Amino acid sequence: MKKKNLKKSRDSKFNNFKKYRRNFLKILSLFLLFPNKAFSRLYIQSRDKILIKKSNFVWFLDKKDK
Amino acid sequence: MIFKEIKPELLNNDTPVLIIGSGPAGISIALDLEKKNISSTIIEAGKEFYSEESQSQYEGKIIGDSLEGLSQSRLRQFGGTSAIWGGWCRPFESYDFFKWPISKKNIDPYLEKACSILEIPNKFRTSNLNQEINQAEYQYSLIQFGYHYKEFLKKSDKIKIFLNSQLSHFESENKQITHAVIKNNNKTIKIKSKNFVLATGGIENSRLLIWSRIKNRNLLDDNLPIGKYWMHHPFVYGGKGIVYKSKLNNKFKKKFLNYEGPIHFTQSENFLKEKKILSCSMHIIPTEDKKYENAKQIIREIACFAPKLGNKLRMFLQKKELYCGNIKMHLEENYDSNNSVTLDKKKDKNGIPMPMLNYQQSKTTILSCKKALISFANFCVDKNVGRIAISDNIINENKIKNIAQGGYHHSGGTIMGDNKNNSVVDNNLKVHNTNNLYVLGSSTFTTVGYVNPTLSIIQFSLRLSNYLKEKLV
Repeated sequence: MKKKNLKKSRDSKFNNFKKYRRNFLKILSLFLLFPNKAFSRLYIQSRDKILIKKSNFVWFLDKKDK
Repeated sequence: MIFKEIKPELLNNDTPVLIIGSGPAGISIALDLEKKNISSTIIEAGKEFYSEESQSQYEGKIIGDSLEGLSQSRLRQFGGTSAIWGGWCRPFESYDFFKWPISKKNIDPYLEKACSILEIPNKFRTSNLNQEINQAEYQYSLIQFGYHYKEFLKKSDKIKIFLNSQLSHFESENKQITHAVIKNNNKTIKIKSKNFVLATGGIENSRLLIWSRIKNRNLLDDNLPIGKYWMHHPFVYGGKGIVYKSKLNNKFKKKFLNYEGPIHFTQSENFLKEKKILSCSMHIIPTEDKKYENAKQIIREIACFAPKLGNKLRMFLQKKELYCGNIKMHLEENYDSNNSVTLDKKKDKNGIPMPMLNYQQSKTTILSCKKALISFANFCVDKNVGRIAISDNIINENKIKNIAQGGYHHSGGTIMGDNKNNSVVDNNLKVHNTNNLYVLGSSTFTTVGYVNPTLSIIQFSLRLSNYLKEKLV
């Protein structure tokens, strides 16, 4: 009985992992297929800087500014 | 003395220097020659004041990319285009001369005198804020040559000015020019002189030389690239931004140039060489000039996506410690033989063909502007001295074509060089293979750099005045 339960929990964990992986790949493919759409609002340039697009202008900001 | 029209009895039989054009170039050289006790005669095609009828003679066709119309960007009247100029002054940088046959050292001795003609202080500091960005200092002249020097010129007995007199072409014997053929109220008058100085601006210098070559085949070589390598300063609003005056002061101490008026940035020579780009200037107008309206709007916009920064900026604005507004830029134009002044079939009232300008804006110019702006925006964030937004038209390369406006600061067309195959005048501004014909003004500039041209034009006028004095003695 114990063994059966353990197997069930392992399967459900694996299924969850598969679900997360599928979602992750979906999002990744969206970013890869439409990079302009995916990054139109926020560009991450480096650890400290962010680029924000707002009404035909791209602002160069520090992360602390937000 | 100033005469409303030319009459043979008023002319000297053999004036030492005949100057064609009464703009900043023509008047500056005449004033300096007078100090050297040398007489000169100035011929001006326009009237004493603006007239629509006279101005219409300055129209011309533009083929290619759009520019400000040729009759809107220059003035055909006594004093020339200085009646509508903005007065911004700064000398060329030393690296601007890399394609010239002379260097900055050759015109530097005339800077002090040029400043006194423009009534501005000789103070043009440059400061390296980092390896890429320089801060530059400009001066602003209020001199309109026609108004400012009129009374002096009226009283002068060494300078004669004839208005309403249009140069048609030159006559010559061998390579020596003997007469300038002038059209005045349907009359043709020939003026004799020892030296002829053509100072009619960045379009007319080319136009009149091309017409002279057609009228007098023996005078100017067919190989001379007259009209070619035409340039201007594309003008663009590259973006908008905020620069903290106090933070610049604290961070850079003596390196920060604390002056009144707009703040100006440009690129270091190393940066231009490393990135292989053309130069440009970036100007931000201080908030005081705009009664904060523009600044408030920009801060409101920032507060939407960066509230912390928005609050901070409001405090700085109250203390009047911000430069805030649109970033105006003057861009250096590419050196291109396809951009040229040629003659149209249509003729003006004196029978001289109207100019036709072939112009294509270069992508290099705008790409240089993009790299310069990105470097400046990164500098502001890294040093925490401001925040910059770049226009999408510049960031996005697909939209880059033909965004710059302008058509002012006409330059090139009769450029300076060693070789008659790729230049029109030599390093003394004398037309190649002629003995006594000189060209003065920004049409002789081999490259334009980022600076406004008038101060340099006057430096060259004073240099030519010295050269003519030595020649005449």
